[in-house]
Amino acid sequence: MNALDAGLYSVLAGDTGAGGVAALVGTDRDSNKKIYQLDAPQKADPPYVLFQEAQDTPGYTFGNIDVYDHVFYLVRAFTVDANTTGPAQAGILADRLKVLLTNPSLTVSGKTVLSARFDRSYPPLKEWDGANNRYFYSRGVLVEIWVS
Amino acid sequence: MGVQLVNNIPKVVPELKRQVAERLNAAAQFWVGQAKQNAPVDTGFLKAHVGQSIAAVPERLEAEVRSLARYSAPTDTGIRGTLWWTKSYLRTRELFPQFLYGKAGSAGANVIRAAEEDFHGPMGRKGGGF
Repeated sequence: MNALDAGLYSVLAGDTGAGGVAALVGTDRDSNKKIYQLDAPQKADPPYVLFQEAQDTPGYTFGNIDVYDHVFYLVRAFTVDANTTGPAQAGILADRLKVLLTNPSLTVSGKTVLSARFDRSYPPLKEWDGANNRYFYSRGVLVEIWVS
Repeated sequence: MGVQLVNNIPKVVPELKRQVAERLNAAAQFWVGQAKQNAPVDTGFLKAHVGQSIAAVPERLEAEVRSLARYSAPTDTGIRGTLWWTKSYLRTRELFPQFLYGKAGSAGANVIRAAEEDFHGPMGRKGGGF
C-alpha cells in the first residue's frame, strides 16, 4: 500500500532527535536520509534502514467494500563491522525501531490508522560482503498495522 | 422417574486433544507448503530441506516447522532476502484460527485449497470472518 509506505517513511525519517532512527543512520551522498524501501541504492553506506510490506490482508463487507487492511511490515537495520561496533549498532537501531513503531504518530493518506505496534523481533544476522571484505550485521522488527 | 447424569468428560478430553493435534499438524503442513512455494530456488537444496520436524500428538500439542539449510535466514531477512519464510509464517498465522477450528480439515493439498477458499472465497479475496 503506497500510502502506508509513505506514512511509515515519514515516521522513520522524522525521528531526528538524539538516538532517533534518522539521526543514527544519517544521510547518503545525495543528502537523503538512509531509510529506504525494499532495497538500498549502491551508493548508500551502512548503517541504513530498509522497510517493506510483508503481508496485506484485507477485510471486506457486503458489496466487496474494503473495510480494513491488516498489514505487516518488516523493518531492518543494517550495519557493518568497520569499527567493530556493527552488531551493537544494529541492536541500538532495532531497539529504537521497536519503541518508535509502537503506537507511532502514523498518518496514512485516505486511511484511518487503527493500530500500529511492534509484533516481534528477528534475531541478529551476520552476512559476509565479499565485494567489500566486511560483514553486514542486521536486526529486524516485524510491525503489525491495522488501517480502515 | 429419575434422571441419570453421565460424566463423559473422560471421553471428550482425549478426543479434543486428538483433534487439536490433527489440526496443528494441518497448519504445520500448510506452513511447509507455503514455504516450499515461496522459497528461492537455485539448486533446490533450500526448498528440499523445509519440513515439519515435530508432529503434534495428543500427549504433546506442539508442532515445529524448520528450514534446515544454513543460509535459510539470510535468504529470508538478509541483505538480499526475499521474506520467503516470513511470508509463509504470516500466511499460516493469518489462517491459523481456521485450522484450529477445524474448518480446514486434515493435512494435504486439499487443506490448502479449502483454507484459501474459506478465507478468500472461490472467486477471490473476501477477507476475514472466520
